[in-house]
Amino acid sequence: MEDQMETICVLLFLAISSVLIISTAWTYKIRFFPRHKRKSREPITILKPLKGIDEGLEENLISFFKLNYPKFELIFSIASKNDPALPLVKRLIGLYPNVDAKLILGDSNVGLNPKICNLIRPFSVAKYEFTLISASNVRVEPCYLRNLIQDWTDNTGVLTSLVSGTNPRNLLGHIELALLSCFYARALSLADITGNAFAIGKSMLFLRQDLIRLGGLEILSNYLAEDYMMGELMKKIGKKVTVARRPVYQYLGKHTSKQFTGRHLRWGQIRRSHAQILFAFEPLLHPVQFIISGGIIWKTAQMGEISQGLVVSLFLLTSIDLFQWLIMGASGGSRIAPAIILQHVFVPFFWLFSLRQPVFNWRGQLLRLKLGGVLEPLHGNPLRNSLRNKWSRESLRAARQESR
Amino acid sequence: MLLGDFHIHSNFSDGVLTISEIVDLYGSRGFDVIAITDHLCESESFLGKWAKRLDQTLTPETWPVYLNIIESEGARAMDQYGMLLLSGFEISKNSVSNSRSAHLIGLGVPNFVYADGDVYDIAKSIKEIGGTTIAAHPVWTRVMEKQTFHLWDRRSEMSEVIDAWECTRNFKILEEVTKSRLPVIASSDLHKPNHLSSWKTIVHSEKHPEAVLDAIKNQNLSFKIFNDSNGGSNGNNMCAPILSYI
Repeated sequence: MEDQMETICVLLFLAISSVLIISTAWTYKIRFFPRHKRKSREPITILKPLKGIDEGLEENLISFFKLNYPKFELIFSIASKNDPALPLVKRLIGLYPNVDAKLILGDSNVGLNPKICNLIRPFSVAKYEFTLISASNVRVEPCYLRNLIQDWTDNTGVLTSLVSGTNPRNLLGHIELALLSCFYARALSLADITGNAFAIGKSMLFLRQDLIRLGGLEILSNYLAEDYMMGELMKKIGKKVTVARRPVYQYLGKHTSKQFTGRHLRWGQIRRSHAQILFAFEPLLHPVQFIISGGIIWKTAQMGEISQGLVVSLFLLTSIDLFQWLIMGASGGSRIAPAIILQHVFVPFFWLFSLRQPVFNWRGQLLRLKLGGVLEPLHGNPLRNSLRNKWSRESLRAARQESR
Repeated sequence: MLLGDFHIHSNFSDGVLTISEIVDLYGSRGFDVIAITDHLCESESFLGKWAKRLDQTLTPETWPVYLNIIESEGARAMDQYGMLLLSGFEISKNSVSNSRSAHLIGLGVPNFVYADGDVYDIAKSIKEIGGTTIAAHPVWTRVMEKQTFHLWDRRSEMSEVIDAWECTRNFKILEEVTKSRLPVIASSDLHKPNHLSSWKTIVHSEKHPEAVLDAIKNQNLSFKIFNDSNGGSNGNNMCAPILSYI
């Protein structure tokens, strides 16, 4: 029995350390050994869907006005004329008259995903073949487009980027930064190793013609993860998702617990609905098992007490994570070390809560996330549906309000 | 005379080639008409749900994309190779039991068809909207693979709503089918390029979707072995129709 336990511990330790080391090494390869360097600088249309004003939005948007690139256009789209982001965008467009920027007000009701509804009209007026969808919370350097276009290859369907963070201003912001730079960046690196990289909506460059060939943006309108699906559908026409060498940096600022948990639960539910088998195996590779199995191996190899082994394993894990963080070029300062350790505490909880039936309340409409990432409106009495399916408290509250 | 293949899978289900690669594979070998027929599995059954999890089936969400790509590739196939590209699907009702498993090809159907329910009703509904139905590999195929006997077991009833029954597998002739005097067709069930060599159908019609589908219904067909390693056609394997060959 003890022998079997030891074998399991050794196998677990080897498996998890291999995953950690290989994914970190692959991130390093993506960052510093690019496969390709494109010389030409084709004009690019940047689509920026906006809703509301989050912390740091103005600086984020200004960074796009300061891009150093021969020819690009910047199209902001805002669904509602009452949106607080509207005056800000108008002011910025006035402040930078030399930048080819415009604002499109009003969305198209083509489906359930509001981001896609908000992008339909700007996509239809985009001037250039190369089209970039960029999230509102991304802050870029002036050379962003120059670096991005270098990584475009002939068989690229979507050029996506690793995502890290910048300017965390509280502990949750630092933990978010650690999760983005370690957990999620590693997931993309591992997928890239197997040739199955997935697209991340923070930054997606694609050819307009390819998307039109698939049926236009409308075909993504009923998916929660429109970014992931765009990449997957590009693969159907023989194109691939390429990962750019430079990460994009999400402005983190002061992260609230609602923002933090909401985002990671949503991403967990997206992983669950799109890749159920991989999602099921996620807990097997959790680093806590690396630490425990490391401790047991330390003891059985008569190198010392189990507690010493646990500390050594934790040190090893943190070192690999810190190396990953360095590769990603993320900021964070000295507070990143505790955040890097604490991130592993949150991951199992996000996984566990992602097992619940995912329900979203978008624009007063209750939606359910189906297998395959498809959104479905809930019909009938939403209150009764909520009770029957044991949905989240927030959805239940929304359902109650709606039924009144 | 049009050299055709009416049972081909792309990466929209369990095929390895994209539709674009399929067009180039067949177009460069002189085919005149082909149909892409990806699996369309049940949405409620255990195996159907797994097919969806593993991205091995068409779904209501991927269907419009599938049709868009077939349309754009169809235009390219005609321009580049003079080849007609038809859209289709293979209703795949899979069960542990071979006698409860049925694969039914639908051609010329613009709408998404759900694979749930009785296969007779599905075939009938395809016919009602003007589609053409083909029973895929209905008998033992002499190959180590999942067998689907349900349509064959109900052939007296199903023959009312099925336009043709596949009567070949690779280079083999499925004699139960050819001897039954049911209307027949020969296709490759291509999943990867090395499946290309097989019996193929020659359609005696104009190069137009409706004319081709009518020819299948009216059995204006003959058959030949297409061996890709010999560069395809050599004319010696023609047997028109296959029933007289048997």
